[in-house]
Amino acid sequence: MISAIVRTAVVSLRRDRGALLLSFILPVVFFSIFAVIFGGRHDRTPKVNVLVVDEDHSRISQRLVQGLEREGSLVVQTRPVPVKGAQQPEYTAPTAEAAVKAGTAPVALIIPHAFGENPISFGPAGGNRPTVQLLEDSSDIVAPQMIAGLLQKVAMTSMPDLMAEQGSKYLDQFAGGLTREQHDRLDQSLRYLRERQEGGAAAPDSGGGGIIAVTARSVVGESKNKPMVSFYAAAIGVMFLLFTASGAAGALLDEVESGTLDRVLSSRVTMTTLLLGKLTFNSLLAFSQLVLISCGAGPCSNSTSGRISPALWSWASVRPSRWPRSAWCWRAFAARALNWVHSPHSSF
Amino acid sequence: MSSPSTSIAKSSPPLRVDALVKRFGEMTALDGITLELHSGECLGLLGPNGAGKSTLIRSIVGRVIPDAGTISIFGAQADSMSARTALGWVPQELALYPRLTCRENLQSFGRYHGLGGVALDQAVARCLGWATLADRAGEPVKNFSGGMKRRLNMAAGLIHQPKLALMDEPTVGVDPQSRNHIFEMVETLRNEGMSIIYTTHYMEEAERLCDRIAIVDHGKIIALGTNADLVRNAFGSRSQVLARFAGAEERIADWVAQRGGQTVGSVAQFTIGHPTEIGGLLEASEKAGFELLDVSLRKPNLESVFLRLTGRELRD
Repeated sequence: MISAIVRTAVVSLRRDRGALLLSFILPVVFFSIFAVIFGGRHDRTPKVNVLVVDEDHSRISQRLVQGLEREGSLVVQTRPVPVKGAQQPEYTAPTAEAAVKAGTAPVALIIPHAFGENPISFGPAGGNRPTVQLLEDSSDIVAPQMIAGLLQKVAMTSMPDLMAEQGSKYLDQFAGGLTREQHDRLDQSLRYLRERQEGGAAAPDSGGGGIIAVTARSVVGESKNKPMVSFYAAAIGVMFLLFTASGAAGALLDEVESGTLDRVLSSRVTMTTLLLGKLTFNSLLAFSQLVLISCGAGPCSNSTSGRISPALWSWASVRPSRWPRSAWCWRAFAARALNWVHSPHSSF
Repeated sequence: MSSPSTSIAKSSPPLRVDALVKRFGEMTALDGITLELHSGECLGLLGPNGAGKSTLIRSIVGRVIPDAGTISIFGAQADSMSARTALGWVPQELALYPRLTCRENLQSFGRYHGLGGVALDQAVARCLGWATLADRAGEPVKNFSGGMKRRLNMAAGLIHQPKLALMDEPTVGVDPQSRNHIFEMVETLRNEGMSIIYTTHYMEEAERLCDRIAIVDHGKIIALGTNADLVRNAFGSRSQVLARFAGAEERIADWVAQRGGQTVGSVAQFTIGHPTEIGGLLEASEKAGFELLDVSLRKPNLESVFLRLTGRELRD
């Protein structure tokens, strides 16, 4: 009986050019529009602009700046953008502060004079130890925290030899002195670390220089040029699942409008069977739309065809308990609402 | 699913309605209706719009749950699966899929009634022939004329060859030729022995098609019997005089009422025992100062019965 309802709905849809257009062309059009809007502008998550003022110009401060520049999530600016081709002078503390106030960047880092002489903050207090200043735009609550965290990370990854050297110095001072042999071994290790660092052995994003070894891997759109497009493919897929869910209610309203609902319900078909039939048909329709988006929309977004589908399918398969739930809820709601509206108690 | 032949009680009447009541808010649509349909009989429900005919039909089909009373279809409760199988419903409004072809509509409703395979093909062919739509079977229904849609509407409701057919004003909005066609379709079913409930507010339809007629008004059956019984009970052997007079309508109406007649529109209606009484009536009108425009004598019909019983015209 459910198959009879599905069959009738399929034939009816096939005859309705408008509905066909909405069902199969609209998803691709929507997807293409979203892909053009978002895929073109943001290939990945937007980077954070940070202004860096190096007042120290020491070897250590320069290594810190270079480390920040190697961070993929940051856009480090040490001087304003050229005006009419003329290069602008480097930022100073006052100009960087003015730039943050003007909204050029949410954060500015000021590396003070003599930072290189004592770059780390741990160890005995005292003296006028230089500290890096972080000037932030309070309207952006994420960027300053992110920069603060990355600064610590870059300190560890871009100059691990200096960190180790400073640490061993304090160990020697507070542990009661090291033996000659221990000093030699430490020096040997520090030398190796320095050579390795200067030789560029530590890749900037490898994470190998951190306290805890971490390897980051993108699971959505892995090895893809535009993971954001993949993200939107999934989002649009969900959107059309919801469209289809509302379509299930619309399909029943069609039955009401054509006057067939009561006739169908006076046959052997019960409301439950009818709803199951409509649900089956709309689920098949939704599946077709997802296949269409995943297979057909790839070429619409850019030349790397088919690169959306793995993301969509992996997303769909990894979290099956999450994404369909809303669509099913919609359907259940629509079904209950219609059931109530067309209850024999409420109609003439 | 069980077949109707095994689940329905053959000794039970096709339809028995007992003290049926249905209210919609303040309005009472069915006010204690009781009736029984005999096997192979065509029972007409005759009444004006809003009398409760459709509500009664929809209650029998199970699309309206009554507030009180019982309905039994071949002994089975209304809306039960065996009742659904035994029933064929032709709703007053067209209930077809406009984008599907004539054949596809019949196939769909046939499947909904549990038909399939060869049985479905045979049923579709039979219905196309019965409704004389075989030559238009492949056309979408939205292109059909009103009469063709009406015929298909009937065929779709009866494709499963039910034992009891409920036809709710199947000739509404069709031209005389199509109406005649529908009459012939109903007569075919009658001749095949199908039990039929036929609602209408057209007296001629009830007179032509129905074995018995129930006159329904304000949710009640106010008279039930054959056409001849109803007329005889209301008028005996008397006749009706219909006359039109020139003059002030209110004065005419007062005078007609004083003479025991009724005024319907511009026509004064009197009941007389013998045709010779016409002379006295006309003489009295002349004395009252009314100019006679025309006069006719007729035998009472169902419309006269309805008017006599309710004081209103059937099409009010």
